[in-house]
Amino acid sequence: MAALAIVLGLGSTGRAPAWLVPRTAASSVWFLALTAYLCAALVASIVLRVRTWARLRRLGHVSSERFRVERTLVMAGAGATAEARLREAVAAQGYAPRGAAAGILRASRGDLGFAGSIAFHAGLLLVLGGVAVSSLTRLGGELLLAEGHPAALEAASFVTLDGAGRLPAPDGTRVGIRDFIAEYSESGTPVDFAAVMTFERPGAPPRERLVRVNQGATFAGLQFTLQRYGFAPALEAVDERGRTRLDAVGLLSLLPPGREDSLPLEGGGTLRVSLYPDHARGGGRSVSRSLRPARPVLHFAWVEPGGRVAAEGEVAEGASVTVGGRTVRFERLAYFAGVVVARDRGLWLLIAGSLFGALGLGLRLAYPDQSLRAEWEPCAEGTRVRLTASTRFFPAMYEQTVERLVAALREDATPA
Amino acid sequence: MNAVEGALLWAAVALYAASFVLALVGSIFHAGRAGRAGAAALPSALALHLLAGVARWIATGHAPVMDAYENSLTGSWFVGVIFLALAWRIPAARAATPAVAAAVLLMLGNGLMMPARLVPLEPPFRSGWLVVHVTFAWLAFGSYVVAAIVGGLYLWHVRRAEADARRAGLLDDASGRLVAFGFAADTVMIASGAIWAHGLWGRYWAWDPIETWSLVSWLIYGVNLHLRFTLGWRGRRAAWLAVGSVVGIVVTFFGIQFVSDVHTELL
Ligand code: HEM
Repeated sequence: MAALAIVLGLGSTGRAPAWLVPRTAASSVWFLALTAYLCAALVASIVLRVRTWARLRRLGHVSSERFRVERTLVMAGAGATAEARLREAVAAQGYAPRGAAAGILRASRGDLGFAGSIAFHAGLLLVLGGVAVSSLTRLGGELLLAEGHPAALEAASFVTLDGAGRLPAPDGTRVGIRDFIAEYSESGTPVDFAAVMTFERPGAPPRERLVRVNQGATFAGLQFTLQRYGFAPALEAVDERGRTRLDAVGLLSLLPPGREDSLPLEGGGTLRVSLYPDHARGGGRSVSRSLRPARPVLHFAWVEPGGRVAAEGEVAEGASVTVGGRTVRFERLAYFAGVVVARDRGLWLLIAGSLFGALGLGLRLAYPDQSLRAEWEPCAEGTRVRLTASTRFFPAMYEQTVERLVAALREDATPA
Repeated sequence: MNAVEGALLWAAVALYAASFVLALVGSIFHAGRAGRAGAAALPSALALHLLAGVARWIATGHAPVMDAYENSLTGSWFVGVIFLALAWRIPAARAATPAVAAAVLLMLGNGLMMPARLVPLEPPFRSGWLVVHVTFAWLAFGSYVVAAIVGGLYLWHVRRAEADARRAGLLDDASGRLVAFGFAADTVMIASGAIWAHGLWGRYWAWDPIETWSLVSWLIYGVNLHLRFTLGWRGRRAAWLAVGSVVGIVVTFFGIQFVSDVHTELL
């Protein structure tokens, strides 16, 4: 069972040995070497295949593909009439004649399929190129922004940040959120959340953008995406000696309602808080009827450095409560949002590569490489035709196609 | 699930079971009438299955693509429909009806063991990419599963002395074509998922278990196609390949739910 969990967990961290964790493995030297080898092999195969194809084309040669279907039939009429009919029927099936020789017709189809195969492999190269560009230039991190408390767009404001050196040089720009709204279903699950993002750069008019899940904003070449949210109560905590030990906006978890978070107190100790956004009492305990901040009440436990709970109580929004000489004031409830800030120049290569890849595969499937060789000679009944059709893939299905061609030719011919 | 969806779905399950039993009896005892009845029950079961999905769609206000139950409901339907399309074009594949009915029943059984609560679309799913990503995911999954079943049918068919070479050839080609089509759909699925992820999470790849396994199975099928197309593998070897490759995809679509339900949690 444990082995199964490790195997299924490929991609998660913690459970599997480091070399099996894809994120770690993907940045290892052997993985990069393998990717480089793959790129080299792809380039070599593309070059070789295109050169061979062009050479055959120049020589007017039709390559005989892997699987063959052979049929002989007799067509009524002399050579020239039969040839004309043959050319017509072959062209109607999308074959293009290649080269000219008396008594022989060579034709092939599926050039688009070949182009598709090349496009697909070139698309892979673009994707790998995109991944390389991303790993060298990507910037990604998260800002936690409480409503009404903009943050400077600089490394120190981020809670997580990859590629800090790639952030634009600090120029006093501040980003913030306001008018956050969250919508819930009748059963209480979150269905949507949105906010107005504000961007203030000294000397430039402020900018505002509506952001929601799946709909980010762009500023200074960076993408800002709403990722998560929670409650941000403005709190003040004053101890029994009148010292303010906390005067801040706490960032509290959203789910499940009533979950406990800890806020550090100045001079040591913590204020443990649980927020009930839609407070009610049930079974002698505080509960929240929903996630809507209809009647926010904060339960707190004041824990001194030694771990002793010095005061415990509940305080509603806009009120303050004093227990054991310690006062907790819950001024106002706002939201905070986790905003992912990202810039990834490799993305465009990835998109281009994906388009090439998907279109290329589509062409490859729709136009398989097939070729045809027909030789004819006069006979007593008219013209005897020997058809050799060849295909690279799916021979049994191709046989049916060739039979349709033979049937079309036989409409005015007799089978041999 | 609501009453309408439940009634339709259980009726579909009963028809799938009937299709499985009749088609199996038909092929084991060469009973033509039973076989035909089994083959006819399958489209009817799929129609009821579709109506159950539509009933759920109406009740939740979104396509059934969100949790493990909905994914089993939708994914199993795609398997059945892809098989029907194949059987219409290549009658030789109709002999796979019992296996397809069994696969659909197994997938539905997996879904029915999960909670089937009617819940609205969660925030991350509210994107136009959802339809593209999920449709291609199920097209890929369905094609791979049917390719494996047809590969199995090929292996079963060529065991017999009186095997018809042309029929065997068509089954072989059908399996290969399904793998190729599934691979194209898989490519679109992964690409659209990555682009969506960039807009949603600010990164297009994070090596989470679903992403990793999707890549692993895509690579497995890439190797599969090279063996078929580049090295010309056919017949038994290619059929075994189609049967064996499906393991990766089953892990991706169903095994991962034991580790994590969605890619990466939002909120
Ligand atoms: C080392 C790098 C690669 C080389 C040298 C290579 C080479 C080739 C060649 C020569 C063919 C043509 C087969 C034929 O017509 O006979 C082919 C086909 C194919 N390859 Fe690759 N390939 C490489 C990487 C990949 C990768 C990473 C994938 C995806 C997983 C892939 C997927 C395919 C597919 C789906 C086909 C069949 C469709 C077509 O002909 O384009 N290839 N490959």
